[in-house]
Amino acid sequence: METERTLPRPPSELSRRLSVVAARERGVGPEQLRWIGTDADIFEAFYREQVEDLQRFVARRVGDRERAADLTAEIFLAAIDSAHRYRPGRAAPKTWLYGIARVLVANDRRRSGRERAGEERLRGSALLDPEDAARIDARIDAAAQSRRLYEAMDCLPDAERAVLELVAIDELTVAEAAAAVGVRSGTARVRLHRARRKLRAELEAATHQPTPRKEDRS
Amino acid sequence: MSPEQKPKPDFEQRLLARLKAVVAERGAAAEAAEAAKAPAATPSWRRRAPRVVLGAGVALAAIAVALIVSAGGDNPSKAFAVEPQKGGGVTIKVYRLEDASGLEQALRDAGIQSQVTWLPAGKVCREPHYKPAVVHLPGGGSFGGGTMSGPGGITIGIGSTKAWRESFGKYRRGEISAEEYRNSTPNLNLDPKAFHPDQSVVISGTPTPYDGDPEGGSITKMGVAEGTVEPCKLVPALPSGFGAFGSSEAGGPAYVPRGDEALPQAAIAADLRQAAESAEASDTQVEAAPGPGQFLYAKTKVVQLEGWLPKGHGKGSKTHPRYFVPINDPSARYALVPVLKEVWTAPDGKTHVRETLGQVNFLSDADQKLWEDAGSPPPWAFDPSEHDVSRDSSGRGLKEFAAKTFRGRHEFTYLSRLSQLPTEPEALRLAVENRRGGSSPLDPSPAKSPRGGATVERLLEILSEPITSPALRAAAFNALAEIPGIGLERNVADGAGRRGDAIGWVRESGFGRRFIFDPRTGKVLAEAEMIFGPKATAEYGAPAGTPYRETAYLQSGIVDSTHER
Repeated sequence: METERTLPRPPSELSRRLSVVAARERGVGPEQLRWIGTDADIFEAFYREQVEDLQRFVARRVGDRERAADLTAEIFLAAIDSAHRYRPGRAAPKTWLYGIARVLVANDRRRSGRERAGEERLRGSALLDPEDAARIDARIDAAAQSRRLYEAMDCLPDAERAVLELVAIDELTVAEAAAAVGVRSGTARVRLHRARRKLRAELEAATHQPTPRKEDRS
Repeated sequence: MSPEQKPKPDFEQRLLARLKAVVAERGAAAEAAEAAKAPAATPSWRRRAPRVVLGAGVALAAIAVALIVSAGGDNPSKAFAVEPQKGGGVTIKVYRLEDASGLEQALRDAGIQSQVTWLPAGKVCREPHYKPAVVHLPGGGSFGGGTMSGPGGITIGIGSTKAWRESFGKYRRGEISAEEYRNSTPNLNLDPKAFHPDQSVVISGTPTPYDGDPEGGSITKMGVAEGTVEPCKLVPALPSGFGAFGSSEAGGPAYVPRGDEALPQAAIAADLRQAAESAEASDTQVEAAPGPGQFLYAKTKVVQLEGWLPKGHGKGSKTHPRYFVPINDPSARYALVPVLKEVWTAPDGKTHVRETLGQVNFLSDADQKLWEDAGSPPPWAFDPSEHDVSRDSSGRGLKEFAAKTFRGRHEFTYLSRLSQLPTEPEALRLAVENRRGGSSPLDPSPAKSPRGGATVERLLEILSEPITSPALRAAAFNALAEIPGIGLERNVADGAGRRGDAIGWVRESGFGRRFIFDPRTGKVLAEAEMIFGPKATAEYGAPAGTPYRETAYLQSGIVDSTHER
């Protein structure tokens, strides 16, 4: 169980300003990432850098505008919450964010959409406007193929699925996917191999099915 | 620029503002805690998310496997069977989606209140018909619902997860195969102890085709309800080419070209080649990114479909109810709202924006009158209680504000990428498709294939950029002319009343995209998200061919100040 820790102290005004400048100029690097939970300016730089890719990441998995918006908000909140536990050596900021996002999207997939209503701190879909809809739908439509692949992966065990998703859908390298999932590269490679083999078998067994989650019973 | 003025933020900006508030609050809390030399009191919300992140691997795996439909279907004579299971409780195997009341009774006997509805194909229950809730399973994990699909029916385990845990353990240790594991475990485990007296399970499902059998599979939706569950009122599922619950049916093309079917392919190619010639001969309005102290000026007319609620109910704050709504409200009346938008973009991506509201046009005269009789309340974006809105000399709503382009400081760096694109049509297409360097020649994919559709769209997007060379524009039009199966319609008017050829697609959702270009100038006049198909027209009560949001490109150039045009 996670023990509660105190949050990192916000940086002193001078180092904070330097961090903000660095974050704006070169992006939020591993050194600045842990401040995104407590420093609004550094968070803003991180957000601007990541929001577009993250929304695409979500659109590759979620075909519903409102859920996608909710998830985008949830993922950033989770990032804010866990930034102080980020360790610079392990994963690049984007990879780290993808690791969080993957878990939350998978989690969300197993719950009904409205079940979340009561427990949310910030409901992303409430921030949607008619003006956003077309743009967001376009992004979602563009990712239709990836979503089909994502759904087809339901036949895989979670650990294998995690690696394959990040490699096949999000085009991460095996090393990045391993960092995002928190395993060694070798482990990830083995899982990736197994996942590919299973998925291929699955898809061949049910070529014409919408969601080939399991073997034909015949 | 006046930073005090409120820009009209998009979703990303609104979300950023809210998240920054959360971060600021945390920062303040951390500072206060530091000052008190005591650990920060952790608000309850802070504990939740990290645990999701950390504990997810294990807890989620449990739920994931519980939701995979097992393929067991050995007794097709009965709709379902109740069997005792190891460790206590029962397993209910649903073979066919029949005898809903019998299944409700069986679930009740096992200690679970439920509402079961088996639906005819193409129907779903009208939502919401119950208050959703979450139950926490004694063995860990929680369940609030989910959707399952696959061959056969579903299996529900009730009372004990022992059998499932044993199977899962065997599977993890590699003692049984994934298939054996799936076949030996229920799709869903419910424990009556996890349910409060007023909680129940809501199940709805419909047969789906599987392996040539039109009803060989099923898709089932489950939820947990708190309190009264209203009877399921059947409504049509979205006729979008997707199954009743959103899974894709055939995995067909993402786009279907839309245009004048009587127009031969040769005529379409001829129009595109003519546009290429005109583009090649034209002068570029804008040759390069603005230098220091300069701005890229772009004037567009944006026409957006918006809904207006005559009674103004439901939306917005109590003090400022919103009469214009997100546009799929069933009681809304729809209007096209034109806004003249002028944007001055500095080299660093900062913008000065000036927006003027045009005449709001409802789709029917009766609605127009209703709105005018109500005092012509402005659309949300020009609502004085939401934004700083002034009036221009002719009395139209006017907003001026500072903002930032979506690309931010990268606004003009993409230009270098554009200028590196080849200006030979086939090379450009291969570059757009990211297939350069192949050894064999690759013919263009047809426009209706996913790759072909994406290529057409990307080429048209390049043509819509304000800063492109005549050679690149010509190459893009010539590359389009080579792609078979493009849908084109002639003599189509854009939001500013100009006419040209339209290239369009319909998506599975019934929405589509359309670019209008002028073959005589080689310019893209406008691009739009369109309402084309039956789903979209039914949803918005707008005739097919109505733009959902159209941007007409009116003028662009490099200027020296935000007062110049």
